[in-house]
Amino acid sequence: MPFVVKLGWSLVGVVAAIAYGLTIGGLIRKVMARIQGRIGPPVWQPFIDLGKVIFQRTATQHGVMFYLAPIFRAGGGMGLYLLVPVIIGVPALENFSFNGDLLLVMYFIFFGSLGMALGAAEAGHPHAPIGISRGLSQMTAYELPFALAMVALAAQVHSFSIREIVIAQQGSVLHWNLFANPLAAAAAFLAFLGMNMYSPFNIVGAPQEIPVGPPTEYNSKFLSLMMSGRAILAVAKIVLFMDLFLGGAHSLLEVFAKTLVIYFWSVFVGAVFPRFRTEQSIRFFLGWPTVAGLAGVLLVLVR
Amino acid sequence: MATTTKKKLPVFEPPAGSLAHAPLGQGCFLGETERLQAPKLKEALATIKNWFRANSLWVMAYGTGCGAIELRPLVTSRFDFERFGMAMRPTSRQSNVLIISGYLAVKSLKRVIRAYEQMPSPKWVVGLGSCTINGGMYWDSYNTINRLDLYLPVDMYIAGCMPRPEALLAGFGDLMQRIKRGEANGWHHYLENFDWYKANQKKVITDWNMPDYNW
Amino acid sequence: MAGLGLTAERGSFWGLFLMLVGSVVAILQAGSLLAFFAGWELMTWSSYLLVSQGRRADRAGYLYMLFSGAAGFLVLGGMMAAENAGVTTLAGLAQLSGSTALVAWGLLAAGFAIKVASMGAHIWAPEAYSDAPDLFTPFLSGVISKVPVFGLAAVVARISVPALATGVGPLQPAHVLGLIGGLTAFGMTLLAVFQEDMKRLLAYSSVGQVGYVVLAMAVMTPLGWTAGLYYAVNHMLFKGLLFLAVAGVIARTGARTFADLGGLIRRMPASFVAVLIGIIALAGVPPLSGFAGKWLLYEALMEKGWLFQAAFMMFASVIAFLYCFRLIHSIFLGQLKNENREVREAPWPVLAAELALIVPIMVLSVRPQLLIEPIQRLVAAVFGAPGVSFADATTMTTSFGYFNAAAMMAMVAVLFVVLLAVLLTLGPKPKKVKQLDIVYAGEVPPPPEELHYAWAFFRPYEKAFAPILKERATAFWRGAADVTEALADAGRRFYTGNAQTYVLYSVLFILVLVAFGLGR
Repeated sequence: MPFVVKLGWSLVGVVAAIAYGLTIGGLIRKVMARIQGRIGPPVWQPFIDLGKVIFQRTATQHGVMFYLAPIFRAGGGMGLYLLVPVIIGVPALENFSFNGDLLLVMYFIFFGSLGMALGAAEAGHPHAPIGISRGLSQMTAYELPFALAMVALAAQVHSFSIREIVIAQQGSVLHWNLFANPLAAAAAFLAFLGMNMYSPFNIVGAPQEIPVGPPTEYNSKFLSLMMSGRAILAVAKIVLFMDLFLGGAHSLLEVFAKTLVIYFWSVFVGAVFPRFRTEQSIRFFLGWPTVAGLAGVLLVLVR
Repeated sequence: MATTTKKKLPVFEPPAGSLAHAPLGQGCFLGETERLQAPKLKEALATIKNWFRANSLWVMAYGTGCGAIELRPLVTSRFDFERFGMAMRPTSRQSNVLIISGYLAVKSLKRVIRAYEQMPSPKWVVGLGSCTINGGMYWDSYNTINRLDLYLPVDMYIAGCMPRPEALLAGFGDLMQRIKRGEANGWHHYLENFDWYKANQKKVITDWNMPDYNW
Repeated sequence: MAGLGLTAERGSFWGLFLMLVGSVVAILQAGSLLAFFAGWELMTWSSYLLVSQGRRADRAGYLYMLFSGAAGFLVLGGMMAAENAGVTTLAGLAQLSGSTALVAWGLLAAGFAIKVASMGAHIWAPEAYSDAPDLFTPFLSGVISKVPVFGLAAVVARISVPALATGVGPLQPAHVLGLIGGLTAFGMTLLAVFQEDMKRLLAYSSVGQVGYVVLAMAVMTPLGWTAGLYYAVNHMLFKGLLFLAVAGVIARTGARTFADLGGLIRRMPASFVAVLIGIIALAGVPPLSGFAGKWLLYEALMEKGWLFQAAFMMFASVIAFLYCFRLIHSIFLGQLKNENREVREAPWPVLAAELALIVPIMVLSVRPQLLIEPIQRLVAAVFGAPGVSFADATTMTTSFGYFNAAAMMAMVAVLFVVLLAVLLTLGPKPKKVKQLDIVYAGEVPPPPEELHYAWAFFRPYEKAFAPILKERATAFWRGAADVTEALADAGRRFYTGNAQTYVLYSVLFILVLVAFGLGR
């Protein structure tokens, strides 16, 4: 496939992913509202929010890094999406996944958060570094079970390439890594909760304590880029998990169905649990999820 | 429990005789040195933009007075304002609506002014309760203000003491209609008559230690 | 080059420095064990003298000498064990076998490991790195810490692995070395997170990063050595960069703890850019060159089958993010204190030196082949097979995965440019506001000193890790020092100063001699 065509398809994919991410954000709000016994906003509410933020008439900025942070965030999300193949076998949807394997994907997740941390801190607001220190501490904690799960998966197929992992899961539902290596899947899905920074691990942006943490000083167009960045980052992560644990997808409908299931896992857990403190969440991740991850790796070594 | 008990945290004390707040000079604040310029009121595609703004009002979570107690049922499940796209935001940088809920003490007015000026435009002020209209129950108090729109441009009043959540919903619905029709331009009025508003504010607030315009 | 901008503490600095450089070259050129050792000792002495030229460096220099001396003795012991078997040249080490090989390998490796400040023997490194003169620390951390790695590669690895088959059960000696390296990387990285002094943080970080290199070398496969050597070169580049930038900050502000700094991005933007590039490379975040090093390391570990180490190292490298962010935030971001309002940018020779280090980092980020191909030739000479191959001109592949550095850089650059264009053109023109125009709940913020969040930055993290953060190594060495002191004290009692006890000793000695003589 010529490069320009591929670029075009990837662009379409990025826009579609942002739209999808915003839609599931709206869906989450509707579902949470229904759980709480109220009507809730319409599903397309995040689009309206994004439009309103874009159409604001004044904005303030604090310096060069302030500009760069939403760019890092959105760029990190888009880059991550471009590195994950959505449907193997359809070149239009494989994006640029031949450029790097799972390790690159893992480290690219950090690119966005690191950049956002830098830019948010430049505003000089003390709540930004408080939020960032909590967020980074949590990130290091959930990284251990996640790394163990990734290592287990890679060792199973002797490759870090996401394509190989997906191909190894074809055949039947029981070949999915969710069932083939349930311990690694358990570790990874528990780490996924931390990744999304959704309740119970949302101390990073606890609105009652530190006004949203890092994005405290962000407004109008910077905020719009951050919102879209968050949307596409979420979509990239759930597509990644779909490829790794639910056997990839063969059609767009399958993509939507599987990714929704993965995302709702974190929403339903979040609806039930209150927020953990930072040291509690760190100790949690270094406890049972790590044990599950270690057991998953052992399982692969023994087989 | 921290294991490193031998670290003593240094105590930073401001130099003797200095203010508790940062001095206004030294380039810490932008306020006094920049001329305020109101952007043009007419804008392209106003209808569409106003529709977006009206359907996604973000309220600043700031309860200035006793009227805030009626805001809580408004947010929770029975009356639920989220179905209209409204949400509570914790910082003034990300909010569009400032609700002055009830009486406004002079002490609160100083903070409210700073919070209002830090909000990005377009922004709206809603006066909740009779105290914002004519002083209400506290009309003869030494410590509260009687007419809110001498100090801040108000776009919608919701009368009552306290107005029930249904009244609040009706008021917000009216505000949304006004925004969609392009009639709610309090923020523009504030920038154009800035000196008048500032003179009124300084008349009441005696311990003014902020810049004239808080960015 | 940086020395043009920073003044040396004493006049003897440059003379000693030249001697040090000469000794390192001598080590690299050594053909025989004795030449190697002579260069090693000379390096130890000259670096000790250089370290103790720092401002508060007495204790640091003493610890440095103590441990380096111990390392030197172990190396000497290993060489003597080799010599017992008749080996006197480096090339001849390949002829050792059996238990001699094990003993020689163990002693030499232990010596090198101590010099590299591995876990357990690490207490000298933070003090030495942080209290050494600012001018010397980049060299100390960038170059001197790599010489033991060279020692491992050139000396230790010559003792061929089959000859070391007499391990303890399945625990090969290389496994032990790898374990030490991994634990060092993890432990030092964790300790670096909680430091309040800039140079100490970088010191702990240096030791941790060299732990990665030791682990990579201990894998003993071509890919592992490629990873180790590439990582070592990279580490020299970005650690030198970071130490130089920090030295510039210290020179201009005179402050060494994070709590005294903050907001310096407005006054020292060039140093900020240098530190930014340094920490992105350190953290191993793509697209800069640090990621290639980490990628090679993980691929090497997975290929060898060391799965747990791989996951553990991923964990450790994420912890590195914490102190990276701390470094850049507490110095450059946040609130500018009133007393730092007039600081100037770092001296231009320092900036020039930083630029000289940034350029290779950027070049390597786009074309890592420039470094990897020479390393491949080296590795192929030792192992007979290269570890990494290049599928097309820009993609590196191993048996486990692939990575295309140039395309990554291109993708990131394109995304950046597009998003920046979008941000700059659309929407209203943002107003640049000043330092204290922040949303402080409607209040006027207090002076910047009270707003900068820099002390005990990671307190919740510290609380979570409290059980393993006790200072065991220092306590152990202190205990060892106490025991030595007690023994010496007991020995001192022999010298009572009383002539009559001496007569008693002489009589006892003669009696013992007579008894043995009679017994024969």
